[in-house]
Amino acid sequence: MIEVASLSKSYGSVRAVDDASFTVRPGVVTGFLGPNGAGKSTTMRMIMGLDRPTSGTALICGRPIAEHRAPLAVVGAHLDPRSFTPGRSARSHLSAVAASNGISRRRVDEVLELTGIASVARKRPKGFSLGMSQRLGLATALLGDPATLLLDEPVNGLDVDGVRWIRELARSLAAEGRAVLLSSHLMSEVEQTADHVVVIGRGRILADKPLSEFVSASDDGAVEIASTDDARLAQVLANAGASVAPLGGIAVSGLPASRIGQLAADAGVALTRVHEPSRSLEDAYLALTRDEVQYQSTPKESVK
Amino acid sequence: MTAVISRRTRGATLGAIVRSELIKIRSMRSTWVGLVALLGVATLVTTLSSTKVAGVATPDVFAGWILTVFQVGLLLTTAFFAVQTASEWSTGMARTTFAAVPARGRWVAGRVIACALGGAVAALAVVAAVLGLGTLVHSAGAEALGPETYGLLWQAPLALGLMSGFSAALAVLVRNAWLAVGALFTLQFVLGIVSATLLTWFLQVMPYLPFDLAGTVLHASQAGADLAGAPGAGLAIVLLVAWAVGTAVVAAIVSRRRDGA
Repeated sequence: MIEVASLSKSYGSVRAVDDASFTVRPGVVTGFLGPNGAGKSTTMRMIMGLDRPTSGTALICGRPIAEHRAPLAVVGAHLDPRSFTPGRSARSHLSAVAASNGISRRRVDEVLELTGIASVARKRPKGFSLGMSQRLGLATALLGDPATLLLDEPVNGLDVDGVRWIRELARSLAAEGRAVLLSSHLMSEVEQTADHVVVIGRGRILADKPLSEFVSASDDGAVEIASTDDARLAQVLANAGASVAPLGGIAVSGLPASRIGQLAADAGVALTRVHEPSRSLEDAYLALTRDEVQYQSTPKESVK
Repeated sequence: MTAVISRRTRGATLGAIVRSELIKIRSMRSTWVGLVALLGVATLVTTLSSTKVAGVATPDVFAGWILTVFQVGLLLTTAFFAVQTASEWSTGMARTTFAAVPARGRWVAGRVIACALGGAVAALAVVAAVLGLGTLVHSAGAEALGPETYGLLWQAPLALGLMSGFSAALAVLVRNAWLAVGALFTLQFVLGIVSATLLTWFLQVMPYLPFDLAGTVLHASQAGADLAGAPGAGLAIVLLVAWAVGTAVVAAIVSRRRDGA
């Protein structure tokens, strides 16, 4: 379990992380989302003890990481795909990291097989693609068979098979009772992998809730309908307390689809289309972080 | 649901960290290229010097060759370990290292010990190469071992090992290969020139700086090695240990307080 409490980090006058508190529970994949520069990586680095917090604490399995006797068994981190010496072979890299925690060489072979890079174990990773480097980073994180995993953008550069493998790996590790914190810009990936999401924007935690709750909380419940007499039906629905808006038919908020159908039947208007659009994680995320994006592109038309 | 805690690891003990750092050192091609280069210098010096020996080479001749090699070897080896240690940061490896060993002080100690062992082994290899080749070239009843060469069997590994550890600690402190090598060159060359030309009072301090102390240790068993103002061999060893350990302690403290890996 990871417990982050009132964690803050300032660089001069810039507040990179501002009083962040959240918990990553065992048995759950927690998605860590936020725009570029929101403070995701800084938070993960502070959890791993790579950066010193200005204030607050980050505990892994009840203690700061530096106080654990065997850190690799407690937490495996993959924070950057290029966290190795390019001139040292993949096997030697893993052997050196394993030796630092008294992990056997047999485990090195196991993680090489598990991550699919056994065939290039003797090669130096300076020639590795981004995907291969990701796999080496993941192999390093898995060396100690850890209770907690921190994965920062692990699917970047991976092919379709690799992405699916990471998804299944994260889910299977959580199913074994491990706590998994996974940051990604790919909403579809997080949606398919995570059970819980923590959203950060401009250093502040904007949301910390189960994925389904996060997505449904941002749902305005609008129902899109079309009928044989849109004008009359709109009047009926408005009289029943709904908000209506023209949308190539009618967009109705404030009434469930079943009640809309009942009112239409009572008014003698036949419905030709009823659509309850489902909100995705991406919709919910964009709605929440709209005002928190630090680096925003300008649409092409408005540049002219 | 309870968390899974692995039993696959024995923990990040100092011994484990030293083993890890030794694997890092020996798994780099540059380590072996550097060692071959050092042995090449040793072979060249021995071959060139042996042509000037009339008859049979004596232990003091062998010792002289070894000391000539170490004039170059000391700087090459310290620069090598400084660059290799600083590369932890330039390559991003430090992120992995500190995720595996978050206790910075223990890691610095492990790294310094591993580099010291590496330097000592390189020194022994050079001594063995010079003695072996020298004996081979002057095989006509040559006796390579005497008090001078016996002394170098422990003096050379000790001096080179401590200096390698010192340079590794210096590299952790500055986290930059160029700065670390620059600091070593300043200690070896620039301070000597400055003190000789501008600050003559500094000449009294020079014998207590790391390279001069290493030179004192290396020459400890040589006849007429005592230099005016230089500490004795015993004190030189103690001071060299103090330089290596002191720099490592400062590096560990600074490393714990500093962001970034």
